[in-house]
Amino acid sequence: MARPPNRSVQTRLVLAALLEQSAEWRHGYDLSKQTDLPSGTLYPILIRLAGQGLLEESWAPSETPSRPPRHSYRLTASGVTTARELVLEERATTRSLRTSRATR
Amino acid sequence: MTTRATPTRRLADSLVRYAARVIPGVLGHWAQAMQNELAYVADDREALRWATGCVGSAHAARLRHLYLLDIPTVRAAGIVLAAFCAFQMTFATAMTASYRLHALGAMDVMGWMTPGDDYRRFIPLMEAIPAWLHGLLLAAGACYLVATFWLVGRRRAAYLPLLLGVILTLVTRLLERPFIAAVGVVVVPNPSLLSAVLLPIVFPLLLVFAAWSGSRREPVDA
Repeated sequence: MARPPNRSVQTRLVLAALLEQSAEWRHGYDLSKQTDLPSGTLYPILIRLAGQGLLEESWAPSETPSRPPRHSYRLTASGVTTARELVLEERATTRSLRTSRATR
Repeated sequence: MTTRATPTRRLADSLVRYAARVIPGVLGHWAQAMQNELAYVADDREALRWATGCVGSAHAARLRHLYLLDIPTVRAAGIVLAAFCAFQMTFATAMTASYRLHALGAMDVMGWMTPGDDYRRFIPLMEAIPAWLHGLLLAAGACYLVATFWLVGRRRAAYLPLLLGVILTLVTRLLERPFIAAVGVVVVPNPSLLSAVLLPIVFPLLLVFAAWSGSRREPVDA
């Protein structure tokens, strides 16, 4: 059985970024720019998500002939489900925090 | 016209190549991914930051995939320890068997390995210890022996016989106490922490942990 994904803020950021365009293939540098995560944080998360079967990987040839092929990523079906659950969970947490602050 | 790479870009390239060497073999395509992605980072400083992060990722991945017993000195120490435990657990039975078979030469040699250098003081104990307790001692020794061979053969399930050996050692040590107390023989006059706790229990348990934790990981250079 695959382990559940790490629920760290950084993992949530990556999952949310991938979920935004779940049908599209994304690249490491683009994800890094979108999430503001350095490669040292991003790649361990991508490696773990791929190991857990939440991320699909593929090599895409470059549009510019002189450049090497790019490793591309997108969420698998279970990755989409997990990402949605985490995003909803985060929204619920934020909402309850706001409510408790307002009632104080 | 091709533009020459700046020193910053060259440094970034070197760092990513270094990361590719560090990353475990099973994640080789990720190293390639990091390396190729660098070509798409236009700014040199940004490329250097990217490459530095890749080095961190590669080291983190290597640590996660590290199997302690793949380090030759650690594995050698583990093999010696398991063999020593096998020897220690079978020693009392071997000595008792020699005594029962009247093999006095063997008794003398084994006596030199005991505190006090004389086997004769153990005679009351050898007569008091029941056969089933020797059975347990031999079972523990056999577990350690199997573990020794499995460690030599790099079998990742070596933690199983090791753990069984430690459990049997603890059970035997508890069960033999009344017999030792009944005959009044002081087996080890001044037991040290090393001989009483570290060597028979703590070190084998650490070895069990090292073997078990590594058995769940993929090999670094697969």
